[in-house]
Amino acid sequence: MSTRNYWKRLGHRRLSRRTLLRASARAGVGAAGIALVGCGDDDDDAQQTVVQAQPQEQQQAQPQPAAEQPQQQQQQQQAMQQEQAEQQAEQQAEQVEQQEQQAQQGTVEAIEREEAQQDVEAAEPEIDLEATLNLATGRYTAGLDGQRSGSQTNYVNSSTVFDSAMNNHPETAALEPNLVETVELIDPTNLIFHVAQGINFHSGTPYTAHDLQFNWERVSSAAEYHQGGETSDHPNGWGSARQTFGTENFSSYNLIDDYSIAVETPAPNASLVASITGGAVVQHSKEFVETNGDEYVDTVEAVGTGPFVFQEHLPDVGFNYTRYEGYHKDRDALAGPRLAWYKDLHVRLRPEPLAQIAGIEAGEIDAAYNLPTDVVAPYDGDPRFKVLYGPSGNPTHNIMFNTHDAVDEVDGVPNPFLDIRVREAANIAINRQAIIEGLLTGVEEPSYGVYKGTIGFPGEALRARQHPYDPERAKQLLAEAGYPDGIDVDLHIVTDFQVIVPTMALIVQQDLEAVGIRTTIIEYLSSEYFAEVRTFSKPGMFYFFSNASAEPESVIGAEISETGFYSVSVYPETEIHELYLAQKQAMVPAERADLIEQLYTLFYDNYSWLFLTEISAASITAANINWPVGPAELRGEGTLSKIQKLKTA
Amino acid sequence: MQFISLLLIRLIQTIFVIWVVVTIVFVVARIFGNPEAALLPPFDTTEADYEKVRERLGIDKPLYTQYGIFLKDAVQGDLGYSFIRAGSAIDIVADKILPTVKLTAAGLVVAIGLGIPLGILAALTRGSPYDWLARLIAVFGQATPSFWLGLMLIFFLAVRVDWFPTAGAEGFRALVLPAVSLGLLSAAGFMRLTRSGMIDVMNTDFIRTARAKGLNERTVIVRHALRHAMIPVATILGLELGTLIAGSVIIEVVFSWPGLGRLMIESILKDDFPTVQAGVAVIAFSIAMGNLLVDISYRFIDPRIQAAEL
Repeated sequence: MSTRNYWKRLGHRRLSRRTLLRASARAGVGAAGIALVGCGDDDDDAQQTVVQAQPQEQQQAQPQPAAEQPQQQQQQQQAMQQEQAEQQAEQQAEQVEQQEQQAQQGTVEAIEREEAQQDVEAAEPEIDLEATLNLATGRYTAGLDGQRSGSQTNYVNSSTVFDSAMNNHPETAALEPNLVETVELIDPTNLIFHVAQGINFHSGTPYTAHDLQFNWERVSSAAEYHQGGETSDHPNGWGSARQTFGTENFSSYNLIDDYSIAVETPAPNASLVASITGGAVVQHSKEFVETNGDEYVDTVEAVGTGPFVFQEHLPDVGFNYTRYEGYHKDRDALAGPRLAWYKDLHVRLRPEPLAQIAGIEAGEIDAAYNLPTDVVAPYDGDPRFKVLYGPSGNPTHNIMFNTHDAVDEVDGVPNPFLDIRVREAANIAINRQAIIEGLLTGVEEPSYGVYKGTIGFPGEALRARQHPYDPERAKQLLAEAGYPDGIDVDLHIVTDFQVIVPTMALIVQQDLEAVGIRTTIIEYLSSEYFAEVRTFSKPGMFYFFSNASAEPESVIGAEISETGFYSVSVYPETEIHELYLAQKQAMVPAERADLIEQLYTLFYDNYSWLFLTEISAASITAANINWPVGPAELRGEGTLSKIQKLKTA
Repeated sequence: MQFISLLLIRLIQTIFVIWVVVTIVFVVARIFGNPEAALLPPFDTTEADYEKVRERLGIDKPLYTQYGIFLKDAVQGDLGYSFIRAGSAIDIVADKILPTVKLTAAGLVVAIGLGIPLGILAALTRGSPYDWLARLIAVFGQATPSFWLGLMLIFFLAVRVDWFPTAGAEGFRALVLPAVSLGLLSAAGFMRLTRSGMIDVMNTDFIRTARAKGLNERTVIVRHALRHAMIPVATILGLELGTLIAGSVIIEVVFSWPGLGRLMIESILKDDFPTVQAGVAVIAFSIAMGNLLVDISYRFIDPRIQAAEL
């Protein structure tokens, strides 16, 4: 140690850094001077000075003001810059001189301190591109096939090995190219999907329009070679909520060439593109599936075009993946998966959230996600961890007013919720901020109905119209509506779907009662609740949820449109349903987003639901992990390739 | 001959127990469960989708018809196909038996290895600080929920000092914490039973006789006293086997141990009836077999006990 320092000290004496810096500063100033002399004329090239030090392309892209400025002004500016550069160089040189004096006069310890400082500088967080990321997941993962339906789907595998045909913009949720490069709108019922060229599956086979068609047919159980449904070699098949996917939505497919496919639909369907290019239809290799069969694809090996190559499935233990070096999108891609920032991904199943966190603390796990917020809250602020909050899978909670019947069939009492003043009273009776700060994490927003990451969500516009907490006004509104003594209604809730629901319902009950809306909470298990909601037969209010989907059709079609099977609140006197129908047919994305925005705003202004709050999920990582996501993204399987693991000292 | 008859009777009893248990699970699961809701996403699923899935899973038929089909298949060794995993329920359960047996056996080793020596020590040093300490350990073991103990062991021995992994089933080190969490409760039971048994036996005439014969104390304790004190311990061993298997359900979740317990939890949460039924059948069978083995072991512990008395 001392020998090394001794030689280092000798090195300082031989050629001090002060000397070096001074020399370089002088050289820089000299070069700037030469540049001034050489370039200080009327020529446009005068802008490209060393001092400005901008990339040439960048300068060319900028407006060229030089011709309009007097030459003298330019020279003054340049002289000032030259002076500044000289001053900076002098300051640096003085600093180094001081350090050198210390080193020369001082002891070995002074040099060691300097070295330590250099070490700290050298240990600036740097992304470890060769790292192994250990991810804990609590989700049950059955098979490897990303197209298996419903809860059976292995979401981790779907988002790593496989790609969806298109991605969503991380901020606006608008569709962005991925495997499908463009969707050409011929007319409202005819579209041509153009597939990107030069993308290969992990097996080396090129991705083509044949694969795109194969996957549409496979998901819709329309393909003969698909072993799902009745012909499955697995007795339970691929039973899917998306059985009708395709067979109803497509009139015909027509392969134009290897990279283009024309699709005709029976009617304009604006959500179709998002549905058939989204995560529900991850893209398999037609050749691989046909060669090996569904069972093999589900249980042995998964091959896709995604950012990770499947390595190993350790049943009930986890999955190992490695980065797909040939991935078609760079690390700075705008949307969706990208070339991973680390080399290997090891996913480990840990059902118990505390065991996941213990794994991070012990250095076995780097990140865990989709955790209850109360479990991670104690670690918020601990420098060994990063706690990240974001929307949950059911990101907004609301209560629907049953507005189907004008009069209660049993009591013969008029339905109070048909009066907008009652709905407004209920909305302004809720102290959402108190819920957010007292019950939730404090980072949530009030609910504006649907997930804020959906296409067309008018975030700022809705925030500006937020329903204020005003219990006195609520009482007044109830009185004006003819209910000076308040009303008695049932509040139907599901107790086993999300743990927070019963507590939230009690708070809502208390707030509503304070203004005169007296509720009786009626509890259901989810096995009966969702079926009950669909009947619209019981009066009162129904606790409900939106889901976290960028494509809003699944929420507005099911919960807001008059024909939706969960549409407990319907308002034929408004334009809500017309807007729903109009956006469904608006094939130009910008027009559709505009219509959806109008719909959301009208729905909110109409006090159509009792809007409650957002509900967060939490993620927790080790301190050396960065996991950036956009506002329209959920921090989960879909953003795994964005994670950066920093090198630690 | 008498022994073979005993085995046959016990086998018939075992089959009867399994039938009763599985029937209860079959009926209860179908009354309260709703697997189609667990299989399909709630928001974009139509009633027709649900119908289709119910039909495919065979749960659209009346309960008695479903039960009839189940019994007919079960007699042939077919407990149905999992609703959520690819494969037959019995195969899926069979894959998980070995890790659970490993964990349960390790838990049993901890329970016996800790409980019996502590019990002997406490009995022989009755009233001493050793006795007091052993009883304290027993109280602690019995009063501590195994999942909490598991979390504490993870915190101190895996996170703080990094002696063991926090979860998983890779290697011997991964087995230690779950086995201790699982075995400590049973160890407390063994300790108490051994202690009281030894105290009783040590005051008996035959022990006095053995000592009067000039046998050394070690022989008196090991060959004479302990053997008699072990009969109630062996009895409790059969019962503890059930406790350990039941305890492994929670411990497997806490330690992410890929065994039958975790499979059962997942299957129950997802209303995977066939897997739950197969798992319950296997657990019932193993507990019944464990008890049978204990009964048989009586003959070896005390040859005076005849088959008829078992």
